[in-house]
Amino acid sequence: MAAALISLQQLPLELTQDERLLASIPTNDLWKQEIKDQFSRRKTWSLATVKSVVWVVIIFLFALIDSFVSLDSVAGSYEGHAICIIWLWLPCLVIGWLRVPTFTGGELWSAPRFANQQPVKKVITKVRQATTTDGPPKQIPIRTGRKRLVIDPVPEINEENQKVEVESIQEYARREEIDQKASPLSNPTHHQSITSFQTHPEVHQGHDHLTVSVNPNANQSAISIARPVQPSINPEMDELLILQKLTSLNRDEHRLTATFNYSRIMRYLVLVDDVLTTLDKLAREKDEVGFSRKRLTEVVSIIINRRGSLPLGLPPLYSQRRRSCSLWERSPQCSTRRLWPSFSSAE
Amino acid sequence: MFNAAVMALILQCGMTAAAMIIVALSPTIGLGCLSLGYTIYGGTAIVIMFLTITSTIFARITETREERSTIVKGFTAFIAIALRRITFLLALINGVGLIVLSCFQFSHFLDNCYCNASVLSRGADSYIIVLYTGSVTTMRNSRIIGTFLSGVVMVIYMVFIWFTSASPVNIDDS
Repeated sequence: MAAALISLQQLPLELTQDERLLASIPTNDLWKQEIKDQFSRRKTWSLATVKSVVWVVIIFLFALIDSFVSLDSVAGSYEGHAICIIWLWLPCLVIGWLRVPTFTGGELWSAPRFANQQPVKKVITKVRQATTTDGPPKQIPIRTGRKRLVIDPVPEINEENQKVEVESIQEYARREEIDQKASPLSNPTHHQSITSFQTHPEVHQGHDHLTVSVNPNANQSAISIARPVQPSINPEMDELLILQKLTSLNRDEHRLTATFNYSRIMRYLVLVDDVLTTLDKLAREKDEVGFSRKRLTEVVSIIINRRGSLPLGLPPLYSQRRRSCSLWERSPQCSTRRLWPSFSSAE
Repeated sequence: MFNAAVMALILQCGMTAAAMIIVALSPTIGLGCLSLGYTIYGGTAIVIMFLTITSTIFARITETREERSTIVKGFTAFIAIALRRITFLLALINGVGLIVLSCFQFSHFLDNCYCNASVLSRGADSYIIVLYTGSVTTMRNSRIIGTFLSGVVMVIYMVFIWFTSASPVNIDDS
């Protein structure tokens, strides 16, 4: 990150004191590598630039010699000398440009976007490969800079498990409806106010109980989720279950599988906003996957709240898109344009 | 921002001053057509730089002060963008003017009696030198001073650029 920040020294940057920012976790190594590569690019010396600078120096020397030789012979012999000197800032500036990495506005915006897309794309392609190929599930290794991130295979969902899942989800839906009737605070529009998330593994009729307290002021049992005990699925699966609950409106098995994949991505790369963007793209590609962006945002907020910190490399530039569009910008890219990118958190 | 502005000012003013020294201290000593053109060019460049800095300050106010109301933010943003565009236009005009001045100079358009006599500053006292033999020392000194000044400014700028920019090789991710 130091390299990227040094390279951007011609920009007014802003670093906030938010503890979630610039967290160095191995998951973000790939992203950091990308952002470093993007921001370390500079225009290096080429044969053309060398030739131009040498040519300028030669001309300057000629003018100098002419000026001093013809001191007393030609009237107005100082003119060439003066012109050379008054244009001398130009080679200085050119050499400076070659030394300092400079970015135009478009490059500045495309660099973090590109860097954000790369890890997500890689993970998605890996997951797709793993899900489309037949045979037993394999572990998916993904190179992330120095360290090695290993993604678990997407769990095979056989029919029995699916039935159980679908039934349980229907059960959640029923309970949620009941809870919504009971307390208006558990309305989906109030999911922004999720502040705490706790798991209470209790054995109750062969089910684990996950308690999501939607609002601390509300009753503790705003939403309660039951999930069947499945030893084949790792203990972090409750996030996936929440994701399923929130995303699979129609309990179709294809959608269930798709949400499994997406939740995998989301779990391992919490580059929140770009994951969402990529997921939007994927959702457009796959018509059968129906979920709303808002619900996914809720899921991400749950995951973040549960982890206590957001392992986020760069605060999402896109999340300010609606606020930053103000009176004075009318370009079509108004939504993502700002006067300069502010490396501060959205919330 | 302060360092960059100061260095740009030093580069700009140093080069213009060096050219001015050479032109104005050559006989006939005084402000002629060419030196007036250089003065206008340098002065406009300084004005442009300060307007640009003002624009960035306003842009920063707009972007960072979250507590300001929308009207205030819109106003400051309007000022910032208007100043940016005005300075861009001014810089364009200034650069074209310098090119035109250079063309005049090369084509000996300014090599007339009025300009060579430095009438602009000397007025009724102006004169033209026909034989330069008597003022060789003054001319040589002025040219040496001008060249030396421009060289010093160039070296200062290069050293600044070299030591404040990151080395492309030794970038360490730490």
